[in-house]
Amino acid sequence: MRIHRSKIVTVIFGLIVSGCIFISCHKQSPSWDVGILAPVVNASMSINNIISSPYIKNNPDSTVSLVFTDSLYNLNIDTIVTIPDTVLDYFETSPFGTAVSPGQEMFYSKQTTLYPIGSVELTKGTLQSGFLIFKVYNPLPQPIDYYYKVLNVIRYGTHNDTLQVDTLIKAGDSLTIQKSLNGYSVDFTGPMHNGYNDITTSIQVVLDPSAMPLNVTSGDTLVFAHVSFSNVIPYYAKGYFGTTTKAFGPQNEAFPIFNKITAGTLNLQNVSVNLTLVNGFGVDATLNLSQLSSYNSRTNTTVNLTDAGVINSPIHVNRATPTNNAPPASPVNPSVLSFAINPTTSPNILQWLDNMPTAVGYALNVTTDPLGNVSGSNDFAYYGYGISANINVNIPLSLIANNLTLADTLAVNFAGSGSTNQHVKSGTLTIYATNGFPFSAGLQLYLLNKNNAIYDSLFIPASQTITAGVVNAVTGIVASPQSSVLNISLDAAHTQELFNTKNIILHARFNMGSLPATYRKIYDYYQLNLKLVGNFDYQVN
Amino acid sequence: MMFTFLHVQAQWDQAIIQNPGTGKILAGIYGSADYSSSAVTSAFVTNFLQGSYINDNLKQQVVSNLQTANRLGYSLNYGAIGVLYNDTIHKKHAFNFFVALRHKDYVSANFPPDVFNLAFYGNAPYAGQSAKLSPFNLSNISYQQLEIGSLCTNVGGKAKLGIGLSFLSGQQLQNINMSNGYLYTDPYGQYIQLNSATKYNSTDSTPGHTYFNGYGASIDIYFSMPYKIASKSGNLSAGVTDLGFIKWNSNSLTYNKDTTYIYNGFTINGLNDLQNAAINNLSKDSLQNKYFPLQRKSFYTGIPTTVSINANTDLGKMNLELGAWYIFNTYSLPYYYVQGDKGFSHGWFTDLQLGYGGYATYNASIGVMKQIKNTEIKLGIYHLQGIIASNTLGGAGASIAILHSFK
Repeated sequence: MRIHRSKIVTVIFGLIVSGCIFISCHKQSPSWDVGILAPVVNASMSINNIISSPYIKNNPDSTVSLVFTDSLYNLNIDTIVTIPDTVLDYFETSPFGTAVSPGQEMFYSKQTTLYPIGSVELTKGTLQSGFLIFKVYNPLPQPIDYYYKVLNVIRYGTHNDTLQVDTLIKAGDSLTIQKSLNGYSVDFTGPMHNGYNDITTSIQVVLDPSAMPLNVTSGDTLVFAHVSFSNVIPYYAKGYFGTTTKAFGPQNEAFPIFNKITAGTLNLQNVSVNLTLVNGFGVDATLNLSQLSSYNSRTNTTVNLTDAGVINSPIHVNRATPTNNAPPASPVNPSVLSFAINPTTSPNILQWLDNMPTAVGYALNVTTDPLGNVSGSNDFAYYGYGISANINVNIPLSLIANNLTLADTLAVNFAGSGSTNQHVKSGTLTIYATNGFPFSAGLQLYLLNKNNAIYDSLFIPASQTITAGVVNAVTGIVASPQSSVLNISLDAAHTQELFNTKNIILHARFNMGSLPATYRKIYDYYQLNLKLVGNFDYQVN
Repeated sequence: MMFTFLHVQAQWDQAIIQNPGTGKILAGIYGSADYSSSAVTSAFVTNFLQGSYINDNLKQQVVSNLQTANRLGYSLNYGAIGVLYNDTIHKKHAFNFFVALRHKDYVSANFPPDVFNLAFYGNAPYAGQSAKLSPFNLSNISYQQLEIGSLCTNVGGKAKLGIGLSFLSGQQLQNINMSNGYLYTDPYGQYIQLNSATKYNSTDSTPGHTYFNGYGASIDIYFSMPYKIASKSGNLSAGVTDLGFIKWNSNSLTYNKDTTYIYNGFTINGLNDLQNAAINNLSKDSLQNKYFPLQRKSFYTGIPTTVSINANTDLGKMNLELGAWYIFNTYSLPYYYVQGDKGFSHGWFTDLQLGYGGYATYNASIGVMKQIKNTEIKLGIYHLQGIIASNTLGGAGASIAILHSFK
């Protein structure tokens, strides 16, 4: 009986000790619900912060402009001086039988060839890339030596280096040697220095000094070489480039200023577009811009610019002059022509921009040396210094917006770093806004999944908008910022989705009051103050 | 003489004081866990410790108990002890020598009602109001203790005087002392303002700093003497337990500031900054680092020190004890008690204690001891009121000890 009681006591003791250990070591956290009322995010945003665009520029008078500069097209040296791949073949047989001693010359030839460059007549050039490819075959039973030179292609330096290939070919063997043309200068004027497009080469074949004496019979192949100039691109070219006309376009260039606008209309009060033509070639040129269009891919609308001074009006651009500067300084003084396109010169430039283009289309013809060889074969061109057309658009933000909707994809991380527990169960997000801009704003949030596809939205009723600031009728400046309160209810499902999402699309719909519409300027000191307050059911654990 | 074995944490271990007479050497193990509160119910704490969901019903039961000031305490104490009895020095004084290895863990707090409400209901109910957070004190300390000592059992006749010295290994510490604190929530939640005069000390809780974070020393003193009142003999005893300190190492964290914080939310400069605005991080390290920057440095703290007094009178068929104890460096009230001890046949003994104070208000505890040859088994159940009415009152505790004597 005593033993039985001892066992009972031992068991009780064991249970109590186990319980104590369990309680003190138990790692699972308790949880409970609390109500959290707290600010989450606050922001004071100027127009730069709201639109978040690299094209916004603040002006000295505190007004704000959208400024965009881009190159519409760019013609480089290879568009006017094209050096095609060229092949020179050498094949000679022995006309009679003879004995050749080791080291004895078996064949020698020197010749000048007209390089086929079309109507372009080059006198000088410097190459920046390309290859000489030398393929050779030796059918004889003894090794022979080839000495190949391009006598008018020289790389100047401490030791002037004529382009050449010297190689030994074993009996019955073939060989291919590739040599870079980078840095070689070319004198195309020929042996008498009065020609153009000429190249002078020499080829010598010798029985290798280590070879055995060789008996050559009539008809034996002595020379079997194939030489090609491949992918030759000049850094510099001089000569007469010829009268040629080349067409470019129609084609589109991206115009990203209005990329974020997804709906609504925009009326701009003024705009300034500057079209600049730059001629870096030492060649006279005539440009004919037949089309400059504004294309809106969202509405599939195209507006062609009508401007008598620019469109379909041949523009003569003088040739550039050389500076004789060594790189990296510019070797040319380009010739520049600028054309101002504004509502005065171009009646539909405002409609052209009110179309909110996503791309600018153009089509043009460029004629070089339209008057022939007036330079005495002194046309020149440098790589990287060609003909370009640059467009500079300056849009002062004085506008009328009607349901103008900006859509921006934003990275978010409401769940916080490394959080797998979604603590916020449900609640309300309240936006307290004080708007110092002359436009109202309606907001809508779309949640994106991992594939960046919209899978849900946080709907803010259209009746809930951030009210526009009150504008002084005389000055047109916002005199009294207005306060607004917007509520977003989050049920459990929406809350879960909000925490899961890593990207949202924010739609902001801007309006500038009722008719009659008045242009309103946007100033850099206008502020939209936002405070996002959460009233959450929060689970603590 | 009947002896007590309830509230072992408040007294010298009876095994050191009183030779059970069954052997020259005694060895034993013991453990006790004790929770009590003037407001926080046992049901609430049980769910909390189990990691369960704390529902509104559990919270409301606590709220109905809340007073202007509320107390809460928890202790965990377990270890092993060895005693050598009746060694004499110069054939004059008899001594008991002892050695003990212990782990002690104390959680102690006092707090105003708003601290509980804010913690378990959030700040939303306080929109447009200030929550009063002070005085709020919380202390959580755990350490290990290696003690050696002796007790002279015949000082001046039948008086007893004992002393024990301990080396302490500090494990964990969290101390919060908020002498002044208000949290104001804007009616629309657009800002939250905290006025706070707070001292905070803690050990480094990052991995690698879990067990040894400091060291210290303490002393225990015990004295008892017999008395006689109206032909009834008795024994009056007084003791000091754990009078000492721990020096926490230089990785420990401190904060001491009297200031006002206003939280306006995470400031962004543009919509693209939204990715840095995490709603879930409202209570995370970023806010703590911004508003409560902690410094690392070494410091000293006193450990919970118990001073106790007890008068044990032999009434013949039973013993009557009157006593009190108070634990310094905690937030409990002095505890006063009356206790009856009675022995039964076959080696059974029982205690029944009624008291007032500590972390709770009224308390009732019972103890049972069984002597089986050279072995004593002691079992105590504390705060019966909190065990029986767990949804209304706060308290529960138990202790157990097994002691064995060797010839």
